[in-house]
Formats: sequence, C-alpha cells, structure tokens
Amino acid sequence: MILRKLARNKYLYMMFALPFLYFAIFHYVPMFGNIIAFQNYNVVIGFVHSPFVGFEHFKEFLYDPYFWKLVRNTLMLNVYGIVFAFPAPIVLALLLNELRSKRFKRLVQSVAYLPHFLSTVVISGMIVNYLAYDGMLNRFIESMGGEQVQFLSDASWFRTIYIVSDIWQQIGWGTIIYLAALTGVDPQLYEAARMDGANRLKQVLHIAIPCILPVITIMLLLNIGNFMTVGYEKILLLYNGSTYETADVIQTFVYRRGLLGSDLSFASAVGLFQSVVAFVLVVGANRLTKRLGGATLW
Amino acid sequence: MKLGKRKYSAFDLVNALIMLVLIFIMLYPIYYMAIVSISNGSSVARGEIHFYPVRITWKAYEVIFSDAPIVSAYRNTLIYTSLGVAINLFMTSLCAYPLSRREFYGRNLFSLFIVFTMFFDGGIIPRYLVVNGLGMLDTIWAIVVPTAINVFYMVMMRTFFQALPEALHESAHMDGANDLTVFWRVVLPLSAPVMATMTLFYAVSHWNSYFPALIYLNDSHLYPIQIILRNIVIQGDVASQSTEASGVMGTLVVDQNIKYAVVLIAILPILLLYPFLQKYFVKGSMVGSLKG
Amino acid sequence: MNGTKNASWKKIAASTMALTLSAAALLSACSGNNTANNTGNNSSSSAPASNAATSSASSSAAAPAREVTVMRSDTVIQPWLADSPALQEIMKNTNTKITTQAVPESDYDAKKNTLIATNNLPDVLFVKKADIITYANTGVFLNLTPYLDEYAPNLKKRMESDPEVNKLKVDGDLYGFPIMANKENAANVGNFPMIRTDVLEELNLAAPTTFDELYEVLKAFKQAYPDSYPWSFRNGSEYNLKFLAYAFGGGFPIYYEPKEDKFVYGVSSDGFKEAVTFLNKLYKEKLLDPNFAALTVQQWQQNLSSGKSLFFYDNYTFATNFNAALQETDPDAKFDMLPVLADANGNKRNYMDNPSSFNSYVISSKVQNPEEIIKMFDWMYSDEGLKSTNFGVSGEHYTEDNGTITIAQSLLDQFKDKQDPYRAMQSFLGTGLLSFAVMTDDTPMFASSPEQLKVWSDAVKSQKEAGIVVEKPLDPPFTEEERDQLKQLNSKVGTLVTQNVDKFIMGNRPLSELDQFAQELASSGAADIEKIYNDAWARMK
Repeated sequence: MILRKLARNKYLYMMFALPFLYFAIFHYVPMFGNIIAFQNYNVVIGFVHSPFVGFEHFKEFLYDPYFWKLVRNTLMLNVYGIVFAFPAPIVLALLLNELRSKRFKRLVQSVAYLPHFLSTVVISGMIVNYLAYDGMLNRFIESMGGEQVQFLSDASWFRTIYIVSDIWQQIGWGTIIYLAALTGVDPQLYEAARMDGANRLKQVLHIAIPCILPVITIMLLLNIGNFMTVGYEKILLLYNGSTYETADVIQTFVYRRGLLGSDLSFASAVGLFQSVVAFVLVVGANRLTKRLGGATLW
Repeated sequence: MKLGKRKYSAFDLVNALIMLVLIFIMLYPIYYMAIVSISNGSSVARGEIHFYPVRITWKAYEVIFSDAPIVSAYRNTLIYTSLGVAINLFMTSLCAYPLSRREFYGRNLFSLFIVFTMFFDGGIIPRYLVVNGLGMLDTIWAIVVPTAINVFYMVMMRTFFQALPEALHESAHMDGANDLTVFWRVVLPLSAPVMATMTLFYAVSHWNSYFPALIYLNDSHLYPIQIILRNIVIQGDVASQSTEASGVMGTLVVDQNIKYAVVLIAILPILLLYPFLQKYFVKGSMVGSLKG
Repeated sequence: MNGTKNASWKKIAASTMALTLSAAALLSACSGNNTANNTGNNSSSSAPASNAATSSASSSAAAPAREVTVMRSDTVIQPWLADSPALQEIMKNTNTKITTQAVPESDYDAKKNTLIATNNLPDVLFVKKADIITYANTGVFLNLTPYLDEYAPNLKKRMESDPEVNKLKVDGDLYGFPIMANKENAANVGNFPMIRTDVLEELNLAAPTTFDELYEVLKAFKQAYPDSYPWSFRNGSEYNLKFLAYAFGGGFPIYYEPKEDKFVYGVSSDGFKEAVTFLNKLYKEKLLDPNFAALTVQQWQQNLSSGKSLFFYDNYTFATNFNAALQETDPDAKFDMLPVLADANGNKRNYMDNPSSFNSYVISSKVQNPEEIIKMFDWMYSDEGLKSTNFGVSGEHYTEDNGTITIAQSLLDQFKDKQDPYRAMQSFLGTGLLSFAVMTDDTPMFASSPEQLKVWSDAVKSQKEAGIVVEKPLDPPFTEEERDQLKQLNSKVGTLVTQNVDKFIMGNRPLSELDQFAQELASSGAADIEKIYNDAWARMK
C-alpha cells in the first residue's frame, strides 16, 4: 500500500531529495551543537568530551527574578508588534489596492519599501537624532505650544518608539507579499460584487480579505514563531539605563553577559529555552488554525 | 483591467492624501542622507544640514570610488547575489512543489521536519564546523549553499502552489505527464508573480547579508560590500566602544558624509530591482483572471 | 511540546536520524582532524629544543621564507595593507613572509570568537586582554613561557621595564605577545577637562581650577549663551562617572584605590556621591546636555564642533577636530586643556589608561615550528624592530640623529592633504598600533598632527610626574572560578547600576537614597565583587 503510494509519487520524492539533504546537513547536523547547553563547553575538548552539567545553565536564569522581567519585556514588545506592526502592511496593501491610478500606486510602493534597505545602525542613528530633547520632533511640539518630551530616556516611551520605527521601516516591504496575493484575486469577483451594489468597504471585506486570508494566517503563524525573540541590535543602540525598565530583553541581557567573556553554554541554554517556548506556541497556534479550517504550516 | 468609469469618491481623495504623507515620511530620511553625502564635511559636523545641501562637494564619492576594496566588494556582492538567487529559486521550488501536492505521502511530516528548523538551530559554531567539513571555507559556496532555502519563503511559495486550481494537475496527468513535466510545463509558467517575489526577497537578503561572509571567508578579496559598509557605518559608534579606542587618538570616527554616501551606493542597485520586477506582479493578475 | 509527543515525533526522529548519521560522521571526521592536529603540536610544544636545529637552518638567507598568516582587526581610518614597507622590513630581517588577514573591526569579535570556539585559528591572531584570560586554559593558544629564555631576549627586557605586563600571565604563563608602548615617546592620551578658552576670555572669566569654579563658569556660559548646553558628554553617564568619580576623590564602579591599596566598589565612596550630585545639579540647570543619556558620538561631536557645547571632559585628542571645524567660521574659537580640577577638599587626581594597550598577538597551538614566529616577534621588540614597525624604512621614511627620530618631510608632504594625514601615512607604511607593531611609538603622530597635541601630551606628562595623574592599574589575574563568578555578579550588579545612575542624575530618584542604593548593590553582589578583586590582588602581591 505504502509502496504503491511511494511509487506513484516517485518524481515528487526525486524533487524533494535535494532539499531534504540540505535541511539534514545544514540544519539538523548543527542542531547537535545544542548539547553544549547542558555542558561547560571547552573548545579544545570539543562537543563530545566537555563535562556535562545538566540543567545548571537553565537554572541559573530561570531562578533569577530579573529574568522574568526580561521575559515580560520581550513578550510585551512582541504583543505590541502583533497588534500594531503586523496589521499595518495589510492595511497599506488594501489601501494601495484601492488606488485608482496604477502609476501612483507603483510610485507609492516603490517609495514605501525604501526604508527596509537601511541598516539598523543607520535607522537608530536617525531615531536618536529626530527624538532628541532638542531634536526635530520636540522642536515641532514646542512650536505647537507643547512641552518638550524626553523620548529617549523615558521608559514609558520606549515600546512606542520601537514599534513605530519598526512599522516605518517594514510597512512597505511587508505589503509586497500581500499585494502579490491580491493580484491573484479574480477581477470578475469584483465585477459581480459591484453588480450586486456592494460598496468599496464591502468589496474589501468580502472579497479582498478572504482571498488573502491564507497568506495572512501563514504570516501570523510565522510571526508567533518569533515571539520570544526581538531584533535586539536596535535595542542595543537605543536603550540606556533609564529605559531598561521596558527595553531590556532576553537577548540584550545575554549580549551584555557575552561581553564579559564569551559564555557559549549559557547563551546556548537561553537560546534553547526561547526555541522551545516559540515552538510550543506555534504548534498550538497551528492546531488552532487547523481546527478552524484555515491555512497551516504543516 | 476594465475598471469602468467610476467617480472619484471622498475615500479616493483621503486615500491619495494618506499616500502622499506616506511618501514624504518614507522619502525624507533617504533624501536627508543624500544631501548630507554631498555637503561640506564641517557643515555636517556642525549639524547645519536640514532640507538642502550646504556647499556641495562630491568629495565623499571620489574618496569611495578611488578605494579599490569597495569596487571589488561591489563585484563580489553582484556575483553572490545572482548565483545565490539562482540556487535559492531552484532549491526552494524543488522543496515547495512536492509539499504543495496533496497526494505527496508524508507531506505533513516533511513540512514539520522543515518548519522545525525555524525554531531550533545549533548556532554558529556547529554550522561553521559543517561548512568547514565540506571544504567550503574561503569559497563562494560557503556564502550561497548554507542559505539555499529560507523556510519562511518556502512556505510562501508552497502556499502559492497550493492555491493553483487542482484541475490543472488532473488534466495534465490525464495527458500522461509526470510530476516533473507538470511542474516544468504547467506550474512554473503560471508562477511568475511568486517567482518575482521570491527573486526580490532572496536577492535582497543576499544583498544585505554580511555574516556568512564574515565568518566563512578569510580572504578579504572575497568580501561583499556589506562588510565594508558595516565597518564604515559602525566604526566609532556606540555599539563598538572598541578595542583600542581608549588609548588612541580620538579621530577614529568616520565622517558622516562618507558614511551616508556609502549607504546610498550600497542600496542603489538593489533598489532598481524592484520596478523591474513589478511588471511580473501585474502579470500575476492575468493568471487570476485565467483561473475563473 | 508534551501535547505533540505522539507517533509523528518518533517517526521524525527515526527518519532524520538515518540521514543525519551520515552527515554526523562527516562532522566527527573534521573534529577528529582537530584532535590529530592537537596531538601533533603538543609534542612540538613540549619539546621546543628538538626543533632548534631546523629553525636555525631556516634563518640563513638561503632558506625559503617562513610564511605566517596574521589576522587582526582592521579600521576604516587606517586600513592594514599587504606588502607594506613595514612588512617588507620584517621579511628582510627575519625571513618571515606575513600574509595579512584584515577583518573589519566592527565585527572582529564575532569572527575571532568563532575561530577560537572551533579551534581554527590562523597562525597568529590579534586578541584583547580579556581573551587571553578567558581562553588560555582551553589550550588553543601556544604557551610562550618555555620559549622565552632561548628565543625572546628582547621581549624579556621590555617586560622587565613594565611589570604591569605580568598581569597578563595566566597561572604564571605568558600566552601572547603583548602590545606595549615606548613610554618615552608615547602620547599621554586620556580623559581631561577641555574648555573653550576664547569664551572664557570673551566673558572675562578666569580658568576654573576646582569643580565648584567649573560650575560657576558653566553657569556664566549658559547665561551668555542661553541656547547652549555648556557641557556635553558621550557614551552615557557610566562611562563618564568612571573618571569623574575618581577625580572627585572616589571611584566607579570597581576601581583601585591607591590611598587604601585595595580595590573598592566605588558606589559607596563619597567621591561617587559628590560626582552624581554635581551632575544632578548641572542637569537641573541645563548646564549639562539634557540628552546626555542617549547622545551618540556623532551628536556629541556636533555639539562641540558647532559651539553648542563649550566644555568636555574626555579624550583630549578630539579637540583638534573640534578646533578645526570651529575655526572655519570663527578663527578665534579654541578648545584648550585645563589642569586637573580640585575636588571639595582641594585634592586633585585623574586617572588615565596605561599607554600600552596590552592587547596581544597569540600563536595558534597547532602551529609547527613556532620558534621561527617567536623569533620574528622578538625582533619586533628590539630597537631596530621598533623603528621598522613604527617609522618604516631608515633613510627613506625617517632619519635618526643622536637618538632623535625625524620623519622625512617628503613623506609628510605626501599625505598632508588627506583627511587624516597621520592615519593615511601609517596605513601606507603599515606601521603603528593599528597595523602590525608590538612596541608602539607615537613620534609619527606628533610629527603629522597639530602642535597643540604635543603641548597637551606634555601637560599630562608633567602632571603625571607630579603624581596628580595616575595610570590605572590592570585588573589582577583571576582564577577560572573567580571569572565565572564575576561574570554572573557583574551582569547582575551592572544591570542595577545602569538602571539607577541616570535616575539619580535626572532627579527621578532622590539623591538622599544614594546610601541606600550603595547598600542595595552591596547586598546584590558588589561586596562579593570587591572581595574577589582583593583576594586576587593579595595573591599577586
């Protein structure tokens, strides 16, 4: 029975062989390296012979009350990300799709994806410039009669700054995938809806969104997979003592420890912890969408 | 596309306005870098540049293009990107197509096998040992092979293949075609939009990538532009309060106009790729109409 | 994950195992290689004498040159080039051909750590002080001690003249060739008070000599220029408190207190509290840049180059850049150095880093016949080697008269129009700290920089001789266990410190809680840090 199935699919298996090998060699073999999370890794002795210490590295951070603050900050940034940054490109894609002039649409698209190409260092430099106490934004606030704000050294502003700059940088780029999906929408569906007297909003709600829903679901699932990680390079460049309260996340903490002497085993343990949590979340979310009949990752 | 002659509504107006604001917000920083890169260095240092260049000079660009490493790094990046994208597209579609077929036995398991790698990876060191073990160090293969398939993009491609009507496959199989020919003759020609998207995504990721090159290449003649760019942009910045800075003359900081000139030069070619690929996105809508 | 622990999991495991086994074999093959290499070099390092014959043969001119790959970090300002005159001199004198592997400084640590962690070092690798301590016990670096007597007489002589270098030893063994400064000709770079003397004159103010007077001066500056923030600093408050707290008679964070001859976690010291109180006062009256916590180096330079800020307490060599930018619009504008300021008790003190960087070049323990490389380095420590690796070719790039080095005018002229003449020249020659030198000499820097630099350096030198300026001692060597503890303690205490220092300065936490803060730190690990330092210090003595 199985053999017959295999035989029928033989060309598919032939195709799949190379990618399978690729994942085995470049992803699964290195995965054995995670073993150092349970060791005191020594370079010269190697993976096989380094002394095992069990869960000692895990205990070290799991029992640290500060660690849970880091978890909270990491999660909060991601929740904000899902709530605000994730839908932004979808909305923009839908708005772009509604633009009447194709030329204008292309122009906006081409311009909106520019910031994606700027490196984190450049972006952070700009943020610091614009949000400084005497920076452009504060000068604007002052001219409107408001009071200057210490954006960069006030912990309550940090998440907003992080998310807004993220949206700014990624919104245009994010639309590409949704616009590609929107081009797949059958124009006749719109035609039919218009005949039925549906207005623009209804057309979007009942045609455009359902058509790109599988893409949205997949993107959301993939996003959840990153729930325990944060683009920490930007945080490193933006945070300071007075914003640690909200800005210090797991990776920045590990980074600071790493600076004091490379500690591969500890970093590996934290990484493994993050992976497990993320994986559990994705498995759960994937089950949920499967039950709801939506697109799934596997 | 026959959109008919509808009236412009208030919504269209507001929408257009939003887009104009967006254009300004997105464009200004790039514009700002451009004017800084052609302004006089001291004026930049005094922070005098806001809306237009001051005492225009092309010196920054002259400095950059007289620098041999930058030119050769540019060429390297072009090679890595084109070869890399070719490998990416080949491998990703080999992976995505079988996984998109409902009759592919073990499909869920294989998908999980692959998605799993998004969350668990062994880190830099074991991967380095693998690349070293395969004899790829200091060769172009170390740059393009270990990143052959991005799971994220593979899933996107698979979702696209899945959305193609099942009838296409059935009729082709009826004509006696095997999976390979179906993929090559039927599926690929319909995949222009997703291939264009993937080309863009992969090209950009190769263009922006520096880490594999940094780790796997020892010969600086093989360095891509991003490594050089990072060195210029980061040096003297907060992230690298570095090695010898404390005991050394304070002049280690690179002039800002050179920094920005390099940033612009490094992103320009890849920016040009988008309008070029855009027409394939439009073709995608044709596919949509064929389907119905 | 428990929820999904079902049959599919086992299937994955089974199917992947089969395939990965083959690849795993591959991996173990390559690590097997490593161990084979290791045993090979162990035998060579345990018996250096047995190789003596081969190395003496290779030093004869007829023998083919020994090829040595050297990897170091590379700056944009002074790119490290292959086949530079200095490298050719090394070749001529030691028959060693250097292959340069220049890795961008911005990412050097990532590269270096990967190579060390995979035991894939080039023949010679540039590392920082801390790396030697962290990795010496792993055995990736060649232990140089057995070779010193026979092959490195020059290095030994240099080490005797600067005993600080002994702190780089791990368990009594030397693992790297330390980069040291020729102190007679070293620029005494450090953080010192620099003020706009033209503004002082304009407002008819006397140069401040104490921190209290400095406060009055800054206040007068602010009055005359309400839009200015008289004092601006970079890198955040912790970086600045390190030397400010010391100047106020205390220290920060853990530092050596010469008065008590021991290490102190300075947050409890009066000097630290006074320094924070002082900064708080300046912040409240907007005499300190309100952006201080988040200021980038770029913005800081902007402030000082544009006249927005009129005072800084930092690396004084920056002032040459600021002066050049300022004088384009105002020829009289000028930053000049103030003598070290007195604290409330009238005491003056200021620390500076040792002019020797004490970073090192290590040799991979896998290298065959390391004696040849050791001899090459030893030559670089000799007077002749020092000159070649700092000034270039004698007669062509410099001349020597009675021990005084004069850089050739033709060479200086060649680079005088460059943006940074000194670095451009050094890059061309392949000389100095940022190229490949183990004894550094700053003569070329003075020759190709504005004259003020020499004046300031001499001012520091005379204050050093008067005992006001102190070279900060290196940390005492720690045991492996102590290092592990310090790693944990420092990240814990450091986080607390960072979170609070800015709050005190900005007034978000009342200054009256400074004592309480010191106690919080002590109980969360600062006391342990202090103890570890002092134990290690006692062992040293």
